[in-house]
This record gives sequence, C-alpha cells and structure tokens, in this order.
Amino acid sequence: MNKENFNKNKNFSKNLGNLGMSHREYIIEGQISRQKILDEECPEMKDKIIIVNQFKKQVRKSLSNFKIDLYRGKTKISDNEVLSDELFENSVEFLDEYTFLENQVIVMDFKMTIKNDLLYEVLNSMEQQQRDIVYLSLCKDMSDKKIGEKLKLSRSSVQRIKQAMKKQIYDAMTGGSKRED
Amino acid sequence: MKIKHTKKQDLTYEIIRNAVNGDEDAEEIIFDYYEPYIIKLSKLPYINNEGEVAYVIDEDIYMSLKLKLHELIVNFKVA
Repeated sequence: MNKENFNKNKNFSKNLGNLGMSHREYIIEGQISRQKILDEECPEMKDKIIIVNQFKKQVRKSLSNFKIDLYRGKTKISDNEVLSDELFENSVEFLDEYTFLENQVIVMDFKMTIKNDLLYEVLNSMEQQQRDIVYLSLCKDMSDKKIGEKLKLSRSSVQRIKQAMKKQIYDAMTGGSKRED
Repeated sequence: MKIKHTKKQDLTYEIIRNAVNGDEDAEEIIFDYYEPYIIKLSKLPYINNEGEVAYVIDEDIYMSLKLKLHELIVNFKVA
C-alpha cells in the first residue's frame, strides 16, 4: 500500500471515530440510504435492478448445477468404458460361437435368436401371446397396463400370465428348486 | 509484464431484454460477461508428469455450458 493511501485511510477512520460510527456501520448506512433513494425517487429502476439480479442468480445457479450433472455423467461413462483393443481380445471367442442361428423364436413381429438352450426350450413351449408378454415386460420394461393396451388384454390377466411364465422359466432354469428369497 | 485489467461491461436490464428478444449483439455481451465463469467451471484437475495437480479445460463441458447459457437466455422471462 502506498503511504498516501495509508494516510487517507487513517484520516477516514479517524473522522468516523469522531462521528461515533464504525466502518461497518458506515457501509450499512450507505446501503440503506441508497435503497431509500431508489424506493422513493425511481421505482421503475428498482424493478429493473431486481430483474438483472434475478437473471444473474439464475444463470450462475443453473450453470454450476449443469456442470455437476455433466461431470457425473462423464465419470459414469468412463467407469463402464472398454478399450477397443480389450474388446477385440474378448470378442474372438464370441465370433467362434456364432452357431445359434437355429434357436430362433418368433416374438411380436420378428425372430429372436436365443443362445441358452434351456431358455430356448422353455420359450419354444410357450404360446405366442405368452412369449410377447415375457418379452415386453422383461426386455422392454413396460408396465402391465401398457402391455394390456398393446395386446388388447386386461391388466390383471397380463399380470397373471406374467407371473405364471416367470415361475415356469425359473423352474426350468434352476431345476425346480425353491426360491431363497 | 503488467497485466491489464480492463473493466467489463456490466449487465443492464436493456441488454437482457434485447438478448431475450433475439438481439445477437446483446447476447454476445452476455456471453463475454460469463466467459471467465464458464472457463472456471470447465476446468478439470489432473496429475501431470511431475506429480503436481494441474488443470485442463474440457472442451465438451465448455461447449455444453455455452449451449446451456443460450438456452437460459432464450427461456428467461422478462417482466
């Protein structure tokens, strides 16, 4: 700090002391008097200042929140990321195993290849409608109500068929052992 | 070397109103006003070769923050 500035500040605080006021009080009083002038003389100006402050506050808040969301999304993706070299090493086995074209089941309007032999047997023994319900509920995560609207069934019948099919699949895959939960 | 501290133009009601109504110059002023803040937000820490923490500007975050700012300007309701 320069000597002149230092002396100025010293004189200023001396004068405040003479008035019986601390520096903080002086600032607060200044703010209040400015507010009074705004309120009394130009109320339009006050509205404009409020809008500008609102804008600044809103932008700062939403930008920082948006950045946090972006950062979280990025770290989530990078955790699940696999290098293409690693993928190629693992996928060699997959390429050799592509002989399941026979295990095809018709679901909705298309054919679905099923890799697991047990699961294929169960699905093949089901009727078309039951298979559709299993596909829509387990693969597409649709609610019972939506499935009912799509297949023209009531919600309760969809739920009943779904539970029966789930049990059938579970029994076939585990050899009929009881559930632990 | 001295660093020049040029004073930026402060935002006023008229600038915000014009930017909301689609004036590009006014929008540019708002972008200039928030540029340092966006750069600050888009910095990501990493550890360099000497084992110190350094910061790098992530361009993806930078651009998406700018797009978000544009979206906020367009959707702001001026009374």
